[in-house]
Amino acid sequence: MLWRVAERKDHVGAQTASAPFSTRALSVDYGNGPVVRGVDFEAPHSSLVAIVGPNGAGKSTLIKASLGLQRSSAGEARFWGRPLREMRKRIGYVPQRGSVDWEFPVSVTDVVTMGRYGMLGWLRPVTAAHRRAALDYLDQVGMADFADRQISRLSGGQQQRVFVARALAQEADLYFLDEPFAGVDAATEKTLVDVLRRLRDQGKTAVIVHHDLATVIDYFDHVLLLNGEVIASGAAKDAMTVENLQRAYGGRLAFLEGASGAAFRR
Amino acid sequence: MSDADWLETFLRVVTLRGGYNTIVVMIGVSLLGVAAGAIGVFALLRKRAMMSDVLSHATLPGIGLAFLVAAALGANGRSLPVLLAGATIAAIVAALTVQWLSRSARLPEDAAMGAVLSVFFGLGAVLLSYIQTLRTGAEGGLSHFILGQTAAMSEQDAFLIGAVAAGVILAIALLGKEFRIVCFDPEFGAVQGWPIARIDLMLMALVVIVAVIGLQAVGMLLIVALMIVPAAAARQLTHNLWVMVALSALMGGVSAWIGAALSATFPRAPAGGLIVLVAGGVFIVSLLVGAWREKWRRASARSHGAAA
Repeated sequence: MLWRVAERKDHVGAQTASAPFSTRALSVDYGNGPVVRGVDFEAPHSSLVAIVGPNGAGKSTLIKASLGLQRSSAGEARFWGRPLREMRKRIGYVPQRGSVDWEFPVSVTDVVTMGRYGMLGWLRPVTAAHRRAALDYLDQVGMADFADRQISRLSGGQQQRVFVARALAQEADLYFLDEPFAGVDAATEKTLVDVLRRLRDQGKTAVIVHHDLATVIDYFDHVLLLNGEVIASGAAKDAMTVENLQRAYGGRLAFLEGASGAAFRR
Repeated sequence: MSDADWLETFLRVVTLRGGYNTIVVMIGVSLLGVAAGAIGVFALLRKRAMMSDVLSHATLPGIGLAFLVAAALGANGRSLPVLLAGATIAAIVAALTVQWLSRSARLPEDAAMGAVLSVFFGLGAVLLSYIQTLRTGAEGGLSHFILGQTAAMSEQDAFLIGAVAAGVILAIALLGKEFRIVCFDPEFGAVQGWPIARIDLMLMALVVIVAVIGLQAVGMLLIVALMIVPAAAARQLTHNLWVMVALSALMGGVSAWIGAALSATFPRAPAGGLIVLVAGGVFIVSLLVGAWREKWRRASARSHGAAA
């Protein structure tokens, strides 16, 4: 009860109540100094949000801590102003492709139906209706022909599409995707961007860890530029300035000014 | 025993013509094999084979202590439920010790497991040799828990083993979906709200139950082999999890069946050794069949590609 009273007094809290995803002073510390430091962030409704930053900036850690997969040392994440445990059914997740064993003995459809497990209770089996839904979502990512294929016989791009279809099968309102474009072919990248835009057009929000600076402004509406702490956040065009990027990446970004400066000035 | 004699005995037992007690033992041990093969698939896929081995070895001091406590209280130290209760408690203590060591002593998990396995087993060996010196007359059967002995199994023991094994099989059938998500992608499951640690605990609990009821027939040294070897064999033959579970259960059951019949034929040989040797034979055949099928698949894919 106490924190509720405290939150009502805090009018910033009242504002975040409606945002699909927000963090307040979120920090993660493994014991060797903080990886994520005091992140205050709000993802707007119906938007595609990129989390951008150098290696080790805590992008995945921020997502995992928000989803309860890693322990945060301070602060909290909220979903539509509520704690995670009340909102799980409205949240979809695409982990990094390398986080699972692709030799595991399951088919493409088996993996996609795992997205339905959250709707099923203990001991309830996957039904034909769930398998039909899985096929629909496979079709949306152009993988319907691979439904019965063993996952060990997929290319990297196909694996990623299957993971995205599994998240779509969750039928969530807020999606988190961890590096979905890493190491995928151009056709897959285009398919995934189309899928994400369709989600946004349905009023949903997706928060995506992204590593390709050149495509950020093309693909995303909103950006969180991170290097342990928040460097900048806001509309993609406003946040992705050369100055902000240099603050986030330091000397590692020297090439950007010449090579892709154009991408950030549009 | 001449060649013809043992073959005749074996055939009689394996076709369930060995008398009522032998039949009950055969069925009990086979159900154990089915349960071991089924749970073994998940232990293998969750990469808990080594942990399972730690838990089964750690049952030995529990058996020794349970015998001593029961004897001190004037009860029958060889009562199977008493010994199995001691074994279960010891396995739980071992699991907690591994967890504690790898968390607070900053040891890699395999070092923690190795240390716990050997210390517990060493303690059990010392306890058992101490019990032998007591000459209570009841201690004779205890060493059978190391390598297994079906000959000494009573009809009641076999019923207990069979009933518990059937319960384990039912639990695996019911929890298949939960075990699958924990083995394939625990983080994704956690985001959906599945209590991953609790499901893991159920998985390891089933492993411990199978290990404990398997102590008498297969022995603590080899009971985990009866879980992992059929699962590894089944993995060679299929890419479908439920087919893998069914195949592994079948292979575990058949290995236990044939092994138990061999044990009845050669009562002096350790039953666990015989059962696991049969399972090993099944594994080698599966490995060859799997490799041959893969080669054939690649060859046909190549010729198909060339034609297209």
